Amino acid sequence: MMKYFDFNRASLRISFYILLVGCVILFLSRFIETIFFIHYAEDLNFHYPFQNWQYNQLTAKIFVLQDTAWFFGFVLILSGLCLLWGRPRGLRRFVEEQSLRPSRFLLYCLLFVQLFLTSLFILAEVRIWWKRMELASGQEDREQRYFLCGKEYGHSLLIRKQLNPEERILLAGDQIDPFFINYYLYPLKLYLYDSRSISPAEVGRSYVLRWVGLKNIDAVLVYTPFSQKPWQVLKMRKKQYDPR
Amino acid sequence: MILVRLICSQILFVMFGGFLHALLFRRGKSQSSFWEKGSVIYLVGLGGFGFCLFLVGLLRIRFSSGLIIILGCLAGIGWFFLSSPDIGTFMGIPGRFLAFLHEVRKKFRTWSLMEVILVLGLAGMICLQFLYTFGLPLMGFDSRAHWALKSKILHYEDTFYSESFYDSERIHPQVRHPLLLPIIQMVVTRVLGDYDDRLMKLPFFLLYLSLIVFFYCELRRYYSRLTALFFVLFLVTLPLLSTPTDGGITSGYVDAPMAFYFLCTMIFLVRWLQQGNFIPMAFAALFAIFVMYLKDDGIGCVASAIGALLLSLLVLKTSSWKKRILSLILFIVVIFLFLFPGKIYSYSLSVGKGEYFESILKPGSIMKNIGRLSKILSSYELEMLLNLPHWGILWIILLFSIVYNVKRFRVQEVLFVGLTLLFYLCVLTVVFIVLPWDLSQFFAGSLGRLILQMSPVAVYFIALLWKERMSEAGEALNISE
Repeated sequence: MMKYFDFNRASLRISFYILLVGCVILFLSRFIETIFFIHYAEDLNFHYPFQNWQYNQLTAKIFVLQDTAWFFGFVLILSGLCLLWGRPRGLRRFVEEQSLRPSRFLLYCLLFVQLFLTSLFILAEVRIWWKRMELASGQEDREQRYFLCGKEYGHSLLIRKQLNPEERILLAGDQIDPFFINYYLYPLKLYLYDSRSISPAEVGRSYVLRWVGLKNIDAVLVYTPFSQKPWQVLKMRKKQYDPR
Repeated sequence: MILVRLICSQILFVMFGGFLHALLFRRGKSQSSFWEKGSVIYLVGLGGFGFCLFLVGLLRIRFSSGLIIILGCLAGIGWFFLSSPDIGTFMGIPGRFLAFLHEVRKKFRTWSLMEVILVLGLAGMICLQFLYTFGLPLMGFDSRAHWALKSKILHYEDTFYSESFYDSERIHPQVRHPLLLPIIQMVVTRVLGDYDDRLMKLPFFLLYLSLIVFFYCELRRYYSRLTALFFVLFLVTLPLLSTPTDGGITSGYVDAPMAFYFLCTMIFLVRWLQQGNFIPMAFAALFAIFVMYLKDDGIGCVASAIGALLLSLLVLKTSSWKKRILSLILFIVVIFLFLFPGKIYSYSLSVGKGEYFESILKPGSIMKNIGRLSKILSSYELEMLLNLPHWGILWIILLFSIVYNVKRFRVQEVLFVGLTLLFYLCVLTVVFIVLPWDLSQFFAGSLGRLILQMSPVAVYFIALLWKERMSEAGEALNISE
């Protein structure tokens, strides 16, 4: 083996180092993401994915750093392999003398790099989910253990107790994704004002009230997921809500 | 009891698949192995049963549990009359599986270390997907707000002719999306008797397993066990396919099932190019219909495949090219006839603002927005070549394989698959040019999933490109050996 990869020869030694540094950078770049997500797993509110925008600036920087590391790591690995391949008694000679086909060897090398990258990805993914499970394991409610949809699920149960599926409901609220809420609130009949979402402040405006009258709306559901009291049901028919 | 109901729901798909399989093979004997036949039966049954229910639903017949079970049982009876030996074989799956394990144990010592590592890797990936299927609920936005919401409506309302679909002011995103996936989910929940967003993911997991078996059997036609395992593992470990959110196979998104059915379509079309007989073409037509009924993007996939097939037949003419073009025309007529009912239904629905862009898909609007092209191309480059966490080096391997095996483009099937990928990328580009949305925002959430739709075909393409260099006469063993 040493006759192919003679470390006394500076050029071969440098090629090996390049390859090694590439692998380490790739591994570390994956590690950055794992550490980052696990570190912030307790802060990031995984109950509500749309809240993650608070961290967008930071995540963007991390992702740029990670992408750059990926790129350089990969370029270094390729350079190292190419340099090793072209040495006078380098990888190519080794492959040929081992009765391996160079093309097959090359493809296997590439596939191995792919599997190496994926295994790093999957390890990180599994660690993240494991951490999330640990964080959520203290909660007793089965649905709460789903930690991503638990909060919406819990809210939807409470809201559904307040309203019945026969009522026509106008959905209003800040920072809500009505499509997302609709999945949890079904079979409630949710409507949007003129196909758009309105803020709680708009609920009392005359144009909204006119629309509410025209569409025979029974109740307004104000949903503000980040407040202390995330939802509020205003029954129109019972005059609980009177803008005047 | 839940387990029994869950198994029953899957048996319905198998019976329907067996019926369709037997119907198509009335004109010829299947040469495929037991495992390949089983995987194809499930793949066909899943899509076929959903599609059949959609046609039944179009007649305003409600999707009651009774109807679903009766349809499945009728298909089972039909399968029995058409091909009773097949049923016997299928009923013997547990025995076959034990025999298979015994054979594996016997031959285990002859396996190389590399093969053992690859098999363990594959088993690990399957276990991971199993955990994702049953351990996690739906977590992606589209999987809940688009697809699962539709299946929930179908589960509770038994029909797609309801206010939930037709009242344009009710909240319902992308109301015109095809209904094949929600119907498949609805079959599981109806047989279960309850709406459960974990258990309804079971068909995705079984689809994944079936595809692994089918893809392995396809590769074993011309590759050694080691190389076939390599390519299968390469496919199943694509990071974006493996994730439990954002388009992974068990995420509840439609993109991965569509990508798998697109791969099946391509495999059967390649078989048709190689063999020229009716059966691969018929299967390709079936899978193409499923692709189009899973997502509207599927029409682009199928149109790309048809264009590529036509071009490769014309460029690399064989002795029977005229006959093949006639068969291709028949193929086009059949699949677009089947697309017709779905489109009639979808155009009867009103849509929200900015949801559909057919109205602006005109030459004028393309020219007006042509400036977007540089942004689109640079986004492709960033996503496909540099987004290693999504793809690893799939697209880099693809480019390398093309350069290294450029002479292989003289082979009809290689040219066909390569052109299909290129054409689909062109279709996506045209759509992005006219799309009335902010591209940066759209690409951040969706570009990966759209590229995912062609990634299994890209793996198949790489396998085809290396076929000549990698296959040896002694390696082309039969799968059953």
